[in-house]
Amino acid sequence: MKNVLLAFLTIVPATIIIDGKAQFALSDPGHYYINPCPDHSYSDPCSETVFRDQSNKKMEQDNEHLNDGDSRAAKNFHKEFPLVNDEYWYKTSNGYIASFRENSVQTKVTYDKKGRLSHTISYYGEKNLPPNIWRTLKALIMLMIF
Amino acid sequence: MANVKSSYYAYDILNVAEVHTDNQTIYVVYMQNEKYAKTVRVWDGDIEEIQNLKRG
Repeated sequence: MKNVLLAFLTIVPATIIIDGKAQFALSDPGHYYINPCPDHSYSDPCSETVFRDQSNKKMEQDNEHLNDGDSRAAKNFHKEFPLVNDEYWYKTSNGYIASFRENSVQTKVTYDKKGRLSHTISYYGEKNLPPNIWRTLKALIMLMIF
Repeated sequence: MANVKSSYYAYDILNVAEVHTDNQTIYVVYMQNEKYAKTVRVWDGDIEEIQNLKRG
């Protein structure tokens, strides 16, 4: 009986700790699943392509495919990135993603269904990283390892 | 000895994902050395290991 009670007291708190950690991980804004392969070759989070156009004017005028959220997302995107005009657009269950490449850096900008900016992800190779960020990351990595 | 240790532990950065959200910037770093492939998250001056895989 003592053994059973001991096992119970060990398993239950361990389960709570694991479960609690999982919930923390999900609610923590820093926990993202990032596709390590940004070139659309696999596991692309953008499952539904709704429009794919390389012309801003054409995309904004193509009312057949656009609703309010679409046009708001496009307007907000071009306001934020005025020099980008060859982006690809995807529709997801949560909203929209604009994807473009500039100076070998792939960037994805996500918008909610109302076209409001949600977050931006830029993928760098080591050589593309701005020097100050490279130095900071290298220093932190060395601290972690040693 | 320091050089041997340094080269043994040296990791090459493969890719870095820079995430901007809610006025925060988070870096997800994919790196590897001869033995391990690691993913770490850098956020607010802290670094946290997300994944550590032994290479085959």
